[in-house]
Amino acid sequence: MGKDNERQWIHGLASILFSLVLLIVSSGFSYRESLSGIVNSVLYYPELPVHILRQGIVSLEAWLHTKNQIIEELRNLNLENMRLRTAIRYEKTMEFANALSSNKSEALVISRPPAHWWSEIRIDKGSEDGVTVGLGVLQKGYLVGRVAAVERNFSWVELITSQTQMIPIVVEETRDLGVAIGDGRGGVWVLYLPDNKPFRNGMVISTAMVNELLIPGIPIGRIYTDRVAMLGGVKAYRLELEADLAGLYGVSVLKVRKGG
Amino acid sequence: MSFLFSWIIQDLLQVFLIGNVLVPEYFLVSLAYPLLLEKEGFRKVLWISFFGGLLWDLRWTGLWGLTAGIYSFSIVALYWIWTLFPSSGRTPCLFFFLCWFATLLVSALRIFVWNRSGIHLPHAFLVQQLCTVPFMILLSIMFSRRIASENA
Repeated sequence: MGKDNERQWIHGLASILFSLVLLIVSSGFSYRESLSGIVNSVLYYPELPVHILRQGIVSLEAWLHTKNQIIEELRNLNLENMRLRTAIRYEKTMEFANALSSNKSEALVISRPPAHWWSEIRIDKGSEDGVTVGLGVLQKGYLVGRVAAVERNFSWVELITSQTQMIPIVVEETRDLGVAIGDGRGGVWVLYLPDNKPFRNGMVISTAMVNELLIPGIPIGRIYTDRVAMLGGVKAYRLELEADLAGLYGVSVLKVRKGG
Repeated sequence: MSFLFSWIIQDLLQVFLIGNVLVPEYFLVSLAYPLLLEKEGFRKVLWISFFGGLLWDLRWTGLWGLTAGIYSFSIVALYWIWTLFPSSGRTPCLFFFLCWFATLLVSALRIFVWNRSGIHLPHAFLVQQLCTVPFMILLSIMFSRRIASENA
């Protein structure tokens, strides 16, 4: 029993010593690489499914990482795109407003009945000056109303703040259509915009196609999404006019040339 | 055959986990179990551990004799400490701690080798222990049942 025990320890010592010797001398073996190569070749097939699984997981992880990166990048690009579009639209709107100046007839406001303060004004241009019903009326390039009635030397303009004035509009940044309606108290609201769109404060509102007398693209104002009301059960956004209706002394009647 | 199986399992785990975690020492623990239960002779287990370690070196470390030596040393140390205790003191708890001691010994060596590769060692070590300890607890339970059935 004692001898057997002794032998066991000799085996133990031998295996450790043999390992140490191998560790020291093996670096000089010329066939080192080939032996390792054989072991690798033998183990290649049992290890292959795990290699494939690992590769799959690594690829999946990389794909998920890339996907998240792309989504983040897309979000940033969308935001940047929206800002750029806002800037471009605004610039275009301003250009358009200026261009309109060359195609308009200046008129003075000669009457504004206090009983209908936010509904109508009278201007000193009439049919003799080429004014017709339906033409757009601007102040500094921004829409303030439309010609409602025409006499020989004067006309009545129904203001955009009038409760009976409904003007189809477009949100320049998103190209969504809606309708601007006055509340008769100096405010204008935009109705019928889709609920699922991310409208933001300051988006530019212009006229959409109404008829050939009121061309599309005339700037009106900017939408304010934090000022929302329900008008007749419909969600309405506040529209802040660029024109100054409180200081309405002179306007321009936008005449439309035949054929655009 | 079971030793070969545990070696292959450890090898496949190494393939799967390489570069991220220290591989769990299932091969060594699977050697310790029959050795301490005296189901296999010391010499047989010792040389299996040596050749298993050598094969590991051929496949993974490239330093022939490194794993072989540490496996052999672990088995010798394990057996030596085990025999220091009387039969009544050879409890499953002792079995668990000896196995753990052996795996920690090997892990220390691997950490020493890995230390130069810039891998996040605490994480690698923690995952290795999370994989190894439950396996050792399972073997300790099996050990306990085996002892109980033999005493019955």
